[in-house]
Amino acid sequence: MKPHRLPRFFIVSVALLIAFGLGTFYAASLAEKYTLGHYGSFRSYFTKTLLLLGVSVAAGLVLQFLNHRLLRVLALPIYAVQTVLLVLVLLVGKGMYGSRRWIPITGSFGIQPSELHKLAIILIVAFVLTLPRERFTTSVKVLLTALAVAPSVLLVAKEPDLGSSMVLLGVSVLMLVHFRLTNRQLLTLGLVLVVAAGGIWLNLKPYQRTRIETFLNPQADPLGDGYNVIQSIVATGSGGLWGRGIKGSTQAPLSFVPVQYADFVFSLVGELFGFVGSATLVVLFIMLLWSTFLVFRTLNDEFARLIVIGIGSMWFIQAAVNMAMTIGLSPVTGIPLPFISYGGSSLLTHVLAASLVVVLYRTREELRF
Amino acid sequence: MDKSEQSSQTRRFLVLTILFTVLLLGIVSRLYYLQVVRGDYYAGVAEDNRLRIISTDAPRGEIRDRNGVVLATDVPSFDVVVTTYDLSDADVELGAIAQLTGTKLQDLKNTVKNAGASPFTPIPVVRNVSKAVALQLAEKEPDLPGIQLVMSAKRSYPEGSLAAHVLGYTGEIADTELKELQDQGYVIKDTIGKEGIELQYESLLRGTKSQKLIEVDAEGKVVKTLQEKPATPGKSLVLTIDARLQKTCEDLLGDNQGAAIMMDPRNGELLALASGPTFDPNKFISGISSEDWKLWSAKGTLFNRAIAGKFPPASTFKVVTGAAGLETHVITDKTIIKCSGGITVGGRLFKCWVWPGGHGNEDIYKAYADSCDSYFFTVARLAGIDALDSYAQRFGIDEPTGVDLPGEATGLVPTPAWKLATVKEPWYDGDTMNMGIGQGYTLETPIRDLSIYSSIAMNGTLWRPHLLKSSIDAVTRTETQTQPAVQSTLGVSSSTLDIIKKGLNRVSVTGGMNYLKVGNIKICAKTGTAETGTPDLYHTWLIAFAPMDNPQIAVLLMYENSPYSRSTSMAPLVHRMLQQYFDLYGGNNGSN
Repeated sequence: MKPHRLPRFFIVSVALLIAFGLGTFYAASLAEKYTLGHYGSFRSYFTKTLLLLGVSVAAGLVLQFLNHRLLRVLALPIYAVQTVLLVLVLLVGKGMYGSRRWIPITGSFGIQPSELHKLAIILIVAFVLTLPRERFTTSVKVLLTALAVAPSVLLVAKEPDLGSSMVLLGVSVLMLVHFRLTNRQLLTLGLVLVVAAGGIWLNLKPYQRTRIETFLNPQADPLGDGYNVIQSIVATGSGGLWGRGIKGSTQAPLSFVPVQYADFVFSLVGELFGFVGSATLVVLFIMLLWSTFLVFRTLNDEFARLIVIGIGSMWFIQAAVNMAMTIGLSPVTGIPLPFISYGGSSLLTHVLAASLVVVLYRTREELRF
Repeated sequence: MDKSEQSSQTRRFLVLTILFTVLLLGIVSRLYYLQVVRGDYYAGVAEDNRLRIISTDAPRGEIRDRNGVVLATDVPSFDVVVTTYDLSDADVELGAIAQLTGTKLQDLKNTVKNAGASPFTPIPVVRNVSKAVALQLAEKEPDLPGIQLVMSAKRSYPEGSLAAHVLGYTGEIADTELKELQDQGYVIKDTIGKEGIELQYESLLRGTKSQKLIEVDAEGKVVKTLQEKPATPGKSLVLTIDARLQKTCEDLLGDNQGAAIMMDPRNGELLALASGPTFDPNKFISGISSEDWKLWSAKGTLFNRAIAGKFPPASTFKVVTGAAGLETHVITDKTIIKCSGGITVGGRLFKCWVWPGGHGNEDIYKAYADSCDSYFFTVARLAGIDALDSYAQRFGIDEPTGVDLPGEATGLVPTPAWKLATVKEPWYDGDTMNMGIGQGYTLETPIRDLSIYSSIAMNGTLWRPHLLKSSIDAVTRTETQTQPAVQSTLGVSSSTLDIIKKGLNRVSVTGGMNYLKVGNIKICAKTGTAETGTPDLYHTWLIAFAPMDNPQIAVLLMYENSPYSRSTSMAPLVHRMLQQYFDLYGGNNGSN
């Protein structure tokens, strides 16, 4: 079978997701104009997202010129630089409610290193797991992986950004699961995870414990997260089958759902476009996953395969947890919905991830590290 | 990576992708339930956004004296709240409220407007409505959409004016306070401590409001409660005050302007802290009449003289002068100075109070007993202004004592530089001498003056005066004790302090001061009579501590524009304070 030069199904899936996100913000800005009589904040989210998309796509295109052999070489430096940024954000970082998630650049513009760090972790784990077999046994590789991932997970949790921290951990674990592991090695892995989980729980801020407790027992915090989730469910449910559309949507313009442009964007989709729209978005994510799997299947090089597994896992974890959170099926963890949630660092990360998948696909025949 | 490894990996990723797909389809099914099956319901909820948060004040913590006498507590009352979204015609419904409660319609509208709340948040517009009004309102409530009568609480001070200046009072949060405290969850019309302990320990007393997330129907009637978080009552406070001693102090002050304080010098616990005249804080809760306000303004009733009044310390300052003289070695306890009714410096006669008589030869002990001005004029002049200032500062006259009440003032230690800057005159020897007997520019607060004697009693250690003995968590019942803290140490040798104490003991057995006597307890005392600028009108002080060798209690009684022309006349009054203390507490403390 002669390989295509481009993974068309994959690219279409990504493009549709991005278009869906833009369409949602545009519709929300119209709803705002209709209800309030003037444009509101969704208008600026829409225009800013357009701008950020331009930057991200440009970066993704530049990545296409990257010599793929460099990826292996770059894995370690990228990881190192990103780790420095994670330390830096704890020192100079800004964020809401006393968190330190952003490295301020100018004005309200800044970067959120925990987003791009997901890619750094995927690269470093793939790098470690594909070190020469002759010199590194499987156990040593697993140990090295743990050593590489643990500091990042803890640094991000310290910001505190528990959601991103869990994504980093989850992605690494799923990558390890796809690596050759004996039962004993799986056991070791399990132990490391238990220790990490224990360490994180002990380091949780009271509000983070509250969030987990709120999920387990919504009665605990009726005005905080419990309230957010209820308003999010109301907004989602109110969309009905076809959605309330631009003229009927009220929850978004009146800001009933907190951070509906970011973490709770799925409830915005639900209100505007109803079950048809929400289900379409879920189907788009299913398309994304399968198209990623199809790219993966054509790859022969283990480094490349592991990277694609990592990227696919990242998308799945984020999409599933975010949507489940919006409809009250998982705790509020502050994980953005890939390609849809408003946020520059997040959008850039996912566009670069998609671009990476394309690079690996295009050059699969040459990939012999 | 060989072929079999590769295909096994592919199989695993396929399994994972299928698993992902199934999970995402699970989300679709949940969406179907929320949006298609329950869609109409949620659309209805969203329509009026039928979710309301109702929050009710937490019971404010009680304030009790050290023996459990309740000084401040909450009693039930009713508030009227308005949910603007549910109003059908604001003028009609708010008009009805205005009529029933006797409030101006415009005021109600302003309250609603200024609340800045969402149309779905109930806003309290009238608090503490009377029972009669509450009953009428309850009857009309069904016809007044958007208006609700809710249970709440109002502050009550069962002992009336007792310890009013200590307790302070509560009131409705002011706009300026609200702006500052919004982050801490305060909202319009909230009750907040305004003065005294109520203000000082607002954060302990306040508690956390109850919150209820309810769903209402299109008319604003509650359909069901979705979530509920009960209120956390505020902490109860136990004060160091003993209501019986406090009562005595207030009786002694009567309608006079002045202060009376009783403190345990061993730990700084204030057993009584009274400022005269006093007032009934309940009036702040029910509303103050203009007559009351006029009267209070005229007499400075609300002013807490015990901690915020600044007065010339007069002869009570002589302990500072004595310490400065002894510590700088310009005198010893053997030094004899002759009083012939005054001393002449630079051709000017500085009169002793005994003039035209004279005290004759005085050592420091006799000088304290006679409160001889000639002696302390001389000591002040010998020590010099720098030494005098330095010791006045060591005794903390220009510093707060750290008492846990808002609004403590600090006294004044005049220096040559200060005089030049403020009075535009150089410092004269005469200023030093006047300062030596506590006249002139020096000012002290009563709490500071008592603290000076307390630190002398405790060989130089001042325990921070405080009123909070402990706080009790309403839920867990755990009691947090206030740990006594050392506020300052004098850095004056104990031999000097012993000499002063001996002198002060002589005071208590001289002449009319004999009336202080409580059993055979050795008492240290000092009087002071400050000129007011008006002839024959004085501020009079009497400070005492006892027992001399094992001090348990330090007391102060001070009258501003005193009914007495001699401070020694206060001895029988201070005797009552000491006698009652030893009657109540002396038994188990091994008084000598």
